[in-house]
Amino acid sequence: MANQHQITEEEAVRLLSSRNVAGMEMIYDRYASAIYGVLYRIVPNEAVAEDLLHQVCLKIWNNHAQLRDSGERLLPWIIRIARNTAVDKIKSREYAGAARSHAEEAAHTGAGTPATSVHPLSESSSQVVSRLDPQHRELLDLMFFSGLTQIEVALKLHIPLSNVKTRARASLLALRKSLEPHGV
Amino acid sequence: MASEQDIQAYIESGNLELYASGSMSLAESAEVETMASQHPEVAAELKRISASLADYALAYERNPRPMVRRKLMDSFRKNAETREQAGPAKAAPSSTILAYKYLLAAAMASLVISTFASYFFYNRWSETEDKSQVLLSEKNMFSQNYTAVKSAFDKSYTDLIIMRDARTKTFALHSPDSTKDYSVRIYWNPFSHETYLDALLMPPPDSGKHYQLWAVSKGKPIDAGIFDLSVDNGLLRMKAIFETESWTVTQEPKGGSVMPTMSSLILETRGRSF
Repeated sequence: MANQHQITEEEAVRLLSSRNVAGMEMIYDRYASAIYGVLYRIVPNEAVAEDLLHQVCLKIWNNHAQLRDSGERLLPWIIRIARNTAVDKIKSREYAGAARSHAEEAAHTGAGTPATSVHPLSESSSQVVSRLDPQHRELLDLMFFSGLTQIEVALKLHIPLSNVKTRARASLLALRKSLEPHGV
Repeated sequence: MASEQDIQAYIESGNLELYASGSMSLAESAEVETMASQHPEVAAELKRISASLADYALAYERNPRPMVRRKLMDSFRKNAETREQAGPAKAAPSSTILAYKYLLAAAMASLVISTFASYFFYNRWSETEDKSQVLLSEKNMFSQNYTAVKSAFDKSYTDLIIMRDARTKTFALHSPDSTKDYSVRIYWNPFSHETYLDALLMPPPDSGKHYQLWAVSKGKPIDAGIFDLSVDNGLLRMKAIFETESWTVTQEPKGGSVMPTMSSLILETRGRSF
């Protein structure tokens, strides 16, 4: 199954580089819900999140060479683009103020609970997350979805910066561990 | 550069997680990127972390509305057809962003203009301030000069009127001692009884003394007032004199005397000058 994914990914990227929309369609069908999930988690507004989805797809369409050069897997690359695009949005002038603090609050309190499964890929993901220690989840959410810097995270949690790093590592190891039995 | 232990410690530090989740500043990220480029273990761990975080993100999967796909793919087809002119910057900006860009440009332009204007007008203002200070002090100087000249002129003019008055009689007084060419003139108006003294050439009186002018009428001296020479200011107004034939000046104790001390006679009329 993982091997098959790999082939599909390579095929999609190859199509992208020849400016074939079919490649974009493959990626969209496979990852649109993942991208949109990240976007909506950070910017909980349907219209804005859809607009951002368009932007993310454009970035994938235009910058696929970057992916080939870095030798990175497609999904992490796409997720990072989605995350950065959404964070740029909430940090932008037009989106500043109440909307941003709402996003932070949502990330902090863990509101916006994991969506019920909508895609075969994610079957285990929401379960994995729900199995995580709330403290680990809180930190992962703050790191990934709030757009806060590590210093801001430290201030928010009232812990020293060194503790943020320690907790970041611990949270990731916990995540990896909980992913393992379900992965591959 | 770093030992295997150091690299392992770096991997365990939590920096890579923060980097992968985008929680690091640009400067902090640069350090991680350098480490990843120098140490394959770091790069590999970074990839694994990114993959785990991506899996984590999948927990929040959410389907966009179905219509989004068609709209998006249509735009990509158009983009693919006109790929020559298509660029990320061209497709991306919405009219709002464009409007903000214009607003920003306009704001920047007006900031630059107003900064220059402020600087320009500040300089102009400073210059004007300096100039006005100079003008003000010049004006004060002129005004003082004018007052001085005016008062000197007024005095001279009044003196001249007295001297030119047809009714004024002029007496020249000289020292009885012919070796001393002291000279005083008296201007006397028999109608208004006004008396003026002009000390043309006189030494100052002895210390503790005043000069005293006497009108001599029918052999009797009449006090016409005291004077010293501390101020040289044209004609000195003396006491009004009703009748006189001649004048004498004596030196008297300060404040003057009732009768002249003839032993200290300084000047006397020798005759009418004009």
